[in-house]
This record gives sequence, structure tokens and C-alpha cells, in this order.
Amino acid sequence: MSGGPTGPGAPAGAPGAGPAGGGALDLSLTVGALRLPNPVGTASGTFGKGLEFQPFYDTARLGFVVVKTITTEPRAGNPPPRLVETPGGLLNSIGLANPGVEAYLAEVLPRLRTLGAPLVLNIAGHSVADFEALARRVAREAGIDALELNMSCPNVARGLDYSTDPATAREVLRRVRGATDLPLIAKLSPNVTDIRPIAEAVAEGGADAVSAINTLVGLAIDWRRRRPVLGRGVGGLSGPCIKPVALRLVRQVHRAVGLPVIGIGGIETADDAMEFFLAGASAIQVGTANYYRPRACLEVLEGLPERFAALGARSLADVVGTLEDPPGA
Amino acid sequence: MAAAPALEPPVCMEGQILENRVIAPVTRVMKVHAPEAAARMHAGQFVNLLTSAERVPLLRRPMSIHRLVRHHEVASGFYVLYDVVGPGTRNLARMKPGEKVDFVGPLGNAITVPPAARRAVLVAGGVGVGPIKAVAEDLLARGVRDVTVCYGARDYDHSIPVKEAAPDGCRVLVCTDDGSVARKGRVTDLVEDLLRGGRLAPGDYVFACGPHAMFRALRDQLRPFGIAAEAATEEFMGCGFGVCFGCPLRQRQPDGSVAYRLCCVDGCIFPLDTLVFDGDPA
Ligand SMILES: Cc1cc2nc3c(=O)[nH]c(=O)nc-3n(C[C@H](O)[C@H](O)[C@H](O)COP(=O)(O)OP(=O)(O)OC[C@H]3O[C@@H](n4cnc5c(N)ncnc54)[C@H](O)[C@@H]3O)c2cc1C
Ligand SMILES: Cc1cc2nc3c(=O)[nH]c(=O)nc-3n(C[C@H](O)[C@H](O)[C@H](O)COP(=O)(O)O)c2cc1C
Ligand code: FES
Repeated sequence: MSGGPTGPGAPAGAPGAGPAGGGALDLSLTVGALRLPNPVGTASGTFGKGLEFQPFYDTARLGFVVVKTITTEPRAGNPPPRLVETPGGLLNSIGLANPGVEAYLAEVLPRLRTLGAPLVLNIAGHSVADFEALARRVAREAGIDALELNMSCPNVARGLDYSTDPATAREVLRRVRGATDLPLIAKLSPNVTDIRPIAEAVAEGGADAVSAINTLVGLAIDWRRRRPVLGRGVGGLSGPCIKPVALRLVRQVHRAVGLPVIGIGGIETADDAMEFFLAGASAIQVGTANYYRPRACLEVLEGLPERFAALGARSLADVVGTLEDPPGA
Repeated sequence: MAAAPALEPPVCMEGQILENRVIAPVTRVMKVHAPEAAARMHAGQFVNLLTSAERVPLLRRPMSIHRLVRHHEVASGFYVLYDVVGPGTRNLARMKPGEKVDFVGPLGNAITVPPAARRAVLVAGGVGVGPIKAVAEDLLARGVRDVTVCYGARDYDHSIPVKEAAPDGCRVLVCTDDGSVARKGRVTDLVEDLLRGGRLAPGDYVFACGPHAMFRALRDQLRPFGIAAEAATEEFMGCGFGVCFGCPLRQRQPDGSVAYRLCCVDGCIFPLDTLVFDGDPA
């Protein structure tokens, strides 16, 4: 992979080199062998089955698309209510509702191929072997550019949480790496004491990039009914309120491993995206904002040139991980 | 079953607010000028309104299309009718004519009226009166002459004037839970009278919008008569256009199994007798 481990603190990621000496802005980057035209993509679970955003903008302009997690078996999802709004955020317990891998590949994938943007499928296994089998199955299909491994969804009954135990996380990556040549993005959970050992483990296991963060586990309570608001009890928190947490974790991961980091968490605007680039993200995903601003991804993308210009930057390499420590820190 | 109208994709745009007036102590109607969107709208669909540029609250608020505005047969805008119940609707209530409101729409499906229907009964519980006027106007335009609106509200504060609930040319029956306006009773009591009087029978078109408890009572009431109805449902929504999977309700499938369907894109209108509510036998 390009942009291999370069040691803590080095500007990781694999931004395009940029046109030598030219004035044009180059927003491209590579993840493993995959070249992405720009760093703005959609976050898993917020982009539907593919065509829902077509009325709002040309999805071919996206840097990449990540779609909702696929599991081996169909999953009906959790009982309602599945959503509750919280200040600056959204708590969800969708429960990985999906038709199962076979139905997904037969019915949804053909539509996704028409989107015109690099396509990243997101998979979640219920065991290491299931992860491997799922990756092997999905990789047989044409038109898939990379896999994101959801190692962290808080919305399924506890089994192994691949994102809290470094040894298991390493094993998942190692086995999936052996099953496919597709670029692999390991999506990390913020619900850990220290994210760095997990990031290091997935890097050792063969990940080409790390995406962070998934939702933060949270609880909303209806005290009158003495019940949680959500049908399943706890849920995953997303939206603008999680951005500071996400920025910190992206910075930690970026410093810990030499892989491109894909920043996720509360991104609504190009300014938010710039903050993530400085923290060390080589690309970003827009999640919850897609719901209330259907054109959010495009607005972020269109806002980047002006902001790169403000920093005198011509490529991602000029901004990624360039956050400076405060004097005396 | 009649073919449902072919639906066009939604737009995300700003419309200009032309009116935002009080029609009952807690209820307002907002008129929005937005020709590009209105040209795509059908009775029974909804819009998803951004109530705050500052993102407080964060999510949009779904509202039924209360009425379509037409000038010389050309659609130019729409109305929404809303109860002020929380932060989002409080924001809506503060908006002024001349200002812009950002919305996504039209969303959801439209009513499906059997071509043979000659008579219609529209059942509204509380703020479920939202879509009734658009539906009634659509029915009248299709030549369904005999349209009765049954409207049940909680109390005086929550009941809107008859002329706001339904267009001219409809019969309107009203009740309130506490009897503070019109007769005391439940909206299903009004429906019961129609059934007993032979003014509601199989083949009539029935449309209902209200809380789950009303849907259950109405379904149980219509079932022995073999009368079908369409229910415009409301679930909490994250997106309104089928991408978050946050708005499920349970529907009985043709094979007898029960599956989740999405209120926003599979509905919000469903055949009433296919819906499975809390407390129904699994
Ligand atoms: C398809 C659809 C059409 C609707 N049409 C209308 C309409 O024409 N007129 C109207 O006044 N309201 C309508 N609603 C309900 C309306 O969206 C909510 O009342 C509104 O979102 C409340 O927002 P708030 O911030 O003011 O209050 P909140 O504080 O968010 O909620 C206040 C109360 O309303 C309930 N509520 C919140 N969102 C919904 C929802 N989506 N559905 C049902 N209850 C909800 C909450 O549980 C709470 O009890 C519709 C809802 C849907 C899904
Ligand atoms: C309703 C909802 C469903 C989600 N579903 C998935 C999912 O299926 N798989 C996954 O890896 N992440 C899922 N996520 C997490 C997002 O991809 C993202 O990591 C998280 O929401 C933080 O980003 P945001 O604040 O921009 O939304 C979901 C998020 C939301 C809000
Ligand atoms: S509200 Fe998002 S899928 Fe229905």
C-alpha cells in the first residue's frame, strides 16, 4: 500500500502528490491501491440503498460512497422507536437492518454500480470466520472498490466486540486480508478506553486505512415511563455533538499508525472537514448531516477549494495532520 | 385497486412563506410559495421542513401537505397545518410572511382511490386533520361528490374551525373528547353513526389520519363490514426519504408474516387492515 507506516506524528495518509509546481488544486488520494478523486464520502448507514440522493445532486461527484452494513443473514432491525433526537445529535438503534448479503448483492448492488462514485461496501461479521466468509463472498462481485469493516456497531447484541480487543481486531483483519485483495478500511469504535492499541492492531493485521469514529453508545430516558426512549434501550450517538470527540480520536489514531485515516463524526460543512484534515484525516465521511441537509456532501466538497486556498494548500498533503500544538504544550 | 399516480422525486429547496396564521389556540397554517415543488405534489404526501438554520432542533420536521395552491390550474405552492408542540413547531410558529423556509418534498406516497368510488369518508383524529383538506379537494376534483369528514379533537384549544378542516362541498362532522366543541365523543363514534345510517358501505373510499389508538379502533369497527381504508401514518423520522431506516412500522405481509416497513418511503399511507399495532396479536 502507498503511504505505509511512517512512524508516530508523521503526516500519514496517502494524499495525491499534487501537480508539481502547478497552481491547480488536487484533492485526490489513495487508499491501498484505490485512487479516490476527492476526500468527501458518505458514512455507512446514512446513504440508503443508493439512489435516494440522486434527486438532490449528482452522486458521481462524490469521492466515494460507503453504504449500510451488510451481514450474512438478513436482519429485520431493532423494534421502534429507533431514533431520538438529543441536543445537537441523534441517538439511534437501527440494529443493522439489512436484507442479508445474498439479497443485497442481487438487488441493491446493481443500483449502487450506477452511482458513478467509487463504491465501498461495509460488512459486519458475527465471528472472525463470518467476517472472512462475508468478505470472500462480497469480493467475488464486480464493481466494488473497497471494503469497510464495521468492527464497532453498538446496536447488535453483545458478542465479541472486535473493536475493543486488539488481538481479535488483528485477527479479523488478518483473515479478511487473506480472503480478498480489495483495499480494507477498518472502522473503529470510540467506545474504548484507548483507541491506539486497536488502531495499531488493525494496521498490523493488514488494513489499508482506518475510519473513525462510529457512534458513541448512549442512553435516552423517559422518566415518566421509567423506560429508555429507544425500543432496544441504548443507542449510538451521532451528529455535531460528537465532533470534538471524533477530532481527538482521529488525531490519536493518526499519530499512532501510518495509515490513511478517514475522519467521521458530526461533519456538516467544509469547515468541519478542514478540522478533520488538520487532525490527521486524509478523507472524511458525512453521516447524520445527510438526513437534514441532503446536499451536505456536495456542500462540503464545494467549500474545500476556498479553504485550501486560505491555507495556501494545493493538495491534501499540505493540510493532513498539520495541526500545531499550542505554544508550551 | 386503482393505479396510484406516478410519483416524481422530491426536491430540496427554499419556498417563500406567504402566510403563517393562527387557526386555533395551538394550531397554525403556513402557506408556502414553491412552484417547482408544488407541481410534483399529490394529496396524501408530506414535506420535511427545516425549522432552524442554527440546527436547533437538528432534524427536519415532517408535515402533511394540507392543501395544494393552484392558480389557473397551475400549482404554485402548498399549505401545512401544524400544532405547536415542541421546539421545531415553535420555530415554525415564529416564521414570518416574506421569509424563506427550507424543505424537502414531496415525500411519501399518494392516496389511491378506486375509480368506482362514488362516496368517501375521511377520518381525522387530532392534528391528523393535516392532510384532510388536500385529500378532500382531490376527491372532489376526481368527481367523488359525496365526501364526509369526521373530525375528532381533544378539546377547544385543539379544535380548528370547520372551514379550515375541509373544503366547501363536504359534509363535516365534529366531536371533542371533552365536549367543549360540538358533540362529546370519539371520532369513531361519528363513524359508527355513518355505518348505522347506511352512509358508509363497502366500495366507499375511506382515508384516516390520527394516532395509533384511533387506527386500531377504526380498523376493528370497519372490519365486520368489509370496508377498506387507507391510513396516513406518522412515525418519528430521521430523514424522510428512506436512508436512515429509523421510521419502521409493522405490516402484515400477504404470506401472513409481519415485517417492518418504512413509514417515509413505503408509506406514509398504508392499507389500514395490514398494519400491526402494539397490543395486536402477533
Ligand atoms: C408523515 C408525517 C406527517 C405529519 N403531519 C403533521 C401535520 O400535518 N401537522 C402536525 O402538526 N404534525 C404532523 N406530524 C407530526 C409532526 O412532525 C411533529 O408534531 C413534529 O415533528 C413535532 O416537532 P417539535 O419539535 O415541535 O416537537 P417535539 O418536541 O419533537 O415533539 C413533541 C411531541 O410530538 C411527538 N412527535 C415528534 N415527532 C413526531 C412525529 N414525526 N410523528 C408523531 N409524533 C411526533 C413527540 O413524541 C412529542 O410527544 C407529522 C408527522 C409525520 C411523520
Ligand atoms: C441512523 C444511523 C445508522 C447507522 N448505521 C451504520 C451502519 O450500518 N454501519 C456503520 O458502520 N455505521 C453506521 N452508522 C454510523 C455512521 O456511519 C457514523 O460513523 C456515525 O454516525 C458518526 O458520524 P456522523 O456524526 O456524521 O453521523 C450509522 C449512523 C446513524 C446515525
Ligand atoms: S425517516 Fe429515514 S428511513 Fe424513514
